[in-house]
Amino acid sequence: MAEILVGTSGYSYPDWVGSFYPEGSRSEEFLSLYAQSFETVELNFSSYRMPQGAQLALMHQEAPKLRFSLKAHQSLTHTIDPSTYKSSASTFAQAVEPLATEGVLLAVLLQFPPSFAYTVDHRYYLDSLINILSHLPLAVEFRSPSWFNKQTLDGLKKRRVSFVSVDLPQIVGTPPLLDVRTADLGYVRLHGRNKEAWWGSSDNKRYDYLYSTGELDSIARRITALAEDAKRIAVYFNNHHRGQAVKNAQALKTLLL
Amino acid sequence: MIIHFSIGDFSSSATIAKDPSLKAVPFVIARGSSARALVLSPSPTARKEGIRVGMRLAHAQLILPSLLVIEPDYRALLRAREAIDTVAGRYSPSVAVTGNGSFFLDMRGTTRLFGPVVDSAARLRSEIHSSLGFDGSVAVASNTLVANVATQTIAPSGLASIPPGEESSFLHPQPVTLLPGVGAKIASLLHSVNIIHIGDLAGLDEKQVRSFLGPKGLELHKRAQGVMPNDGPVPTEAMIERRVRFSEPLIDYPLIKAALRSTCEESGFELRTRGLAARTLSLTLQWIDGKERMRSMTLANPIVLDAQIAAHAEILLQALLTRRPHVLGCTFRLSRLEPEIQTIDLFDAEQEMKRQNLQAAVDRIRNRYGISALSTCGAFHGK
Repeated sequence: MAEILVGTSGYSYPDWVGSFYPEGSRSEEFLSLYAQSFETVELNFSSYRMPQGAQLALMHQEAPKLRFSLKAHQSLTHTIDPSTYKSSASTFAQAVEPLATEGVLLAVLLQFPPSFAYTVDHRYYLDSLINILSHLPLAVEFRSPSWFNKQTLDGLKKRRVSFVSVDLPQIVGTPPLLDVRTADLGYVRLHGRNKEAWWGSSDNKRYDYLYSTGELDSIARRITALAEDAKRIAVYFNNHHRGQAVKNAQALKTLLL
Repeated sequence: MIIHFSIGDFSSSATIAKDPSLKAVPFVIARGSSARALVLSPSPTARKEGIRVGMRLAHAQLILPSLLVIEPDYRALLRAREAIDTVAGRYSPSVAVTGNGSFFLDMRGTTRLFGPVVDSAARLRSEIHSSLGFDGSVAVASNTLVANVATQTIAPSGLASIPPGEESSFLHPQPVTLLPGVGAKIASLLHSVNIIHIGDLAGLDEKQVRSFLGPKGLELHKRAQGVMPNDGPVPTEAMIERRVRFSEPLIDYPLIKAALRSTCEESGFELRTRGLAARTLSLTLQWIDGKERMRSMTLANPIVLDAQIAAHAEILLQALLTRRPHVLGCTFRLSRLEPEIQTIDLFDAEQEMKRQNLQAAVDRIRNRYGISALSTCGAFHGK
């Protein structure tokens, strides 16, 4: 049976003080406090600003047992410049090196926006990016439904890159939900199922959702099925608003025991 | 919403479910070991080595000399199908088996009871795996066509859910070979004109389709657009169904007919007890070589008496019994049910009244002493 690691997408949320972090906790204490409850975290800040090796090494020192997944920088996924992406990819790869060397890097998450569709140019680009980062464990999350096809899954299997399974509302405009393992690592992101606020709302409203016990039970079964013959499964809750991600992650851990 | 569950290479999956130690062993299911024997079902590990259904066994053994050959166990297969059917029946009253290891569940109206359909699909998959040892691909979609393509996309295992309204965006990038109805010949024809994806076919206009694929191509065109004409092997109405597995495989027509007669009487008794009459009868036979065929008929007037049901069922049986292997069992179904209204044929009123009275008398006895208390001689032939 695979090792199943459950955590949240991000950990530095001031609105978790009181509900998860003890009252009066300071932001620089968040990571070590978080690591007392969870074995893994998905870092989001790396998407907005290019991470630095020293900074990630420091985070590892603060939480030595914590294993990290990092969102790739937006210059590799959202604002791709054909003339600079190769150097950006190298910079990013160098930055995560301390975590990889220490054996605490679970995956680099390449999360593409809905505009990144299944076109010839985008396929060439993805192939090139995967080649540059091939020495790192990679996971790809697509938001354009056009990627949810057999050729994509076969291509990722061939390259041993994880296809990210997402859970989000099943409404018009959202991509299909596919739980398929294409590499030794299974990667699951749970965004909540807030149908009403999914489109045209702020992130806070979109991710304002608490999974019910019944929903978590079915998610636990999906993860168990994904874990069959896998080495490791990483599961992250992104419904961070009001600490709901923490509540759900803790409940899921109990269900998976 | 529809759930499609598909277990690939069902025979070898059933063998692994029975003996999990075979999971990592390359083996095939094949009858006999003659030079002409064919691979009926490769195990997942044998498939990884390039062994496929329909390949000559001798060729498969050349590819993999250590290949284990296991004789098919059709009884175990039938038992496995029944066990899966029982589990699926807990999730939906409408389950349609469309082949070995492939079945659809109509989940309309189940959300209040079970929650979101995708969660039911995950539980169903988990229950079938934990209690019966089978894994497969499971998909949720608004129709059987999209659910079917989705299970093929994620095969051999996984879970998919296609949001309503996203059927076309899901179908269009898929290879055209995944579209039901596109076999090797049509695929080759389509590829020759650079129609590679389902969306390429959907993008043609009807005139182009007709000139290239003929009138029958129009149905494929509709499917490419996500439309399934007469959607569903999933029954959408109440029905009465009896499944019979013979105590031993039968080949003699009188014995099979007797078993069917008995089944008709049971079905007819339930029909009348529920105050219903049936317009459609269907019969499926399962042969010892794993094949099965179904025939059905819809009548202008609903029927209700055992004799009427048995007479029509015999016509179906005669139409189906064109194969030589022994018959393992059958499924008999009465559908298009409607309230029973007693009508007397004006030109045969006396006889008709007698038949109805006789049936009513038989039913009274069966009500009091059980269905087996009274049967016609036809149901006892050869016993």
